[in-house]
Amino acid sequence: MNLRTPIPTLEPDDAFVARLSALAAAGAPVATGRRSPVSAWRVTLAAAGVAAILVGVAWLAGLSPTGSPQPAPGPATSPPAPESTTSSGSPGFSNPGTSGPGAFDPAVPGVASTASTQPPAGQSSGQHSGQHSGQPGRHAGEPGKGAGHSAGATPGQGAGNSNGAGSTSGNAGGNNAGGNPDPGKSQGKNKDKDKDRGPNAHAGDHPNEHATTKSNNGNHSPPGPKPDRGPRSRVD
Amino acid sequence: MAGDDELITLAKRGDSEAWRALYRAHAGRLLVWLSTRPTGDSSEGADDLAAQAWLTAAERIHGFTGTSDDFAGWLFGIARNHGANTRRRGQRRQTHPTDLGVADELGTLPSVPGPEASYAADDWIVRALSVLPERERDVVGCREVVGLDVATTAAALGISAVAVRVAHHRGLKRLRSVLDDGQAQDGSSARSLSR
Repeated sequence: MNLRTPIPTLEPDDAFVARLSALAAAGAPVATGRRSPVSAWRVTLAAAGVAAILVGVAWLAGLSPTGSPQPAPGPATSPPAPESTTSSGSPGFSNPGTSGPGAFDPAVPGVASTASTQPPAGQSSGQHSGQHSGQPGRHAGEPGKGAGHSAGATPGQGAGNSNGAGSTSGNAGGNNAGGNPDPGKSQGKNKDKDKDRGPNAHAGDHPNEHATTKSNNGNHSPPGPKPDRGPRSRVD
Repeated sequence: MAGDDELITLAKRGDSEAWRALYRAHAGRLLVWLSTRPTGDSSEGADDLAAQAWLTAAERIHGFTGTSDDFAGWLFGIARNHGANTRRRGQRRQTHPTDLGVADELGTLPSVPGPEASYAADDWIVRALSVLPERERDVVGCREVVGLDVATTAAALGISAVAVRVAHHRGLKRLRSVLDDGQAQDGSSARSLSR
């Protein structure tokens, strides 16, 4: 059994060979030289356009919160930004920069999660803090409330702690400030003390806010300059 | 794979003499090998597939690296891919040959002499290989009919050298058994006729 077939020698057509040569020459890789000036200008123009768009977007993003206050999506959970800013600087607050973001912003995860996961007292406190954190006049005008509810707290301290925490004016003694926003329950009760001893999610995050009234923590600002700081923070 | 030899280098530059030399060296084997494989479309023959393979090879020669012998396997692989495409296309749109005798009577189509006469001598090889599975038929066609070596056959069919050897062995064994059965049947029929 021999399957081997004699292989013929085929002579190619000239036109076919010319076509093969032309195809091979056309497919030769072209040496990549320097870019033409036109293409370089195009690349530069495209990069400049992208940069301009990015700058414009950044400018608009930075302009929107300060220029036009956005309406609150919900009356209970999102107070207007300017009011909250004002309340964060109410009397007795020694470091507005530290407590600013955590004090009034309802979108802060810690505040929102606390309000949603806490027992009913925590929920009410979350709403309460959201509503009242931006009312400086109330905080300033009710020093006796905080003083009466906190154990041995002076009126000035009570007001300052609550404002620094960004929770509510009823946050007596400031122990719950920011970390445990339970102002409603703490008013007129000593539960506040017990709650403060429990695990506080924000413990250590804001040292100025967690100053206790008993220890009269040095984080508090002295009582003297408090009246002066209130108006200053309001201006902020 | 070794680098390009002088013939491949010249072919990449578009030298017509280099392409002519490549064509002389490989076109005959390619055409014989393609004639042993069914195209799957009666409207396209081995000549058409070979021409398409050459044109594709000329377009893609810059992506090839190797010697002139390696070029054979690469070219056969291109032809095999073209054959597969033709087979798939033929399955999608069935074409049937027209009886040219009737057409001549109608006077609509001229009579063109075809290459069938030149392939008549190799017809028995095609019939013998048609009983084999596709891979074994291709391997036996490359190794036995055309005379390619194992490496070139592996490159042409896109399989390993071990697979080429295995398919070659099995194909020859199967072909031998089929031919023996055919001879036995022919012998029995001849004996019955003599009685």
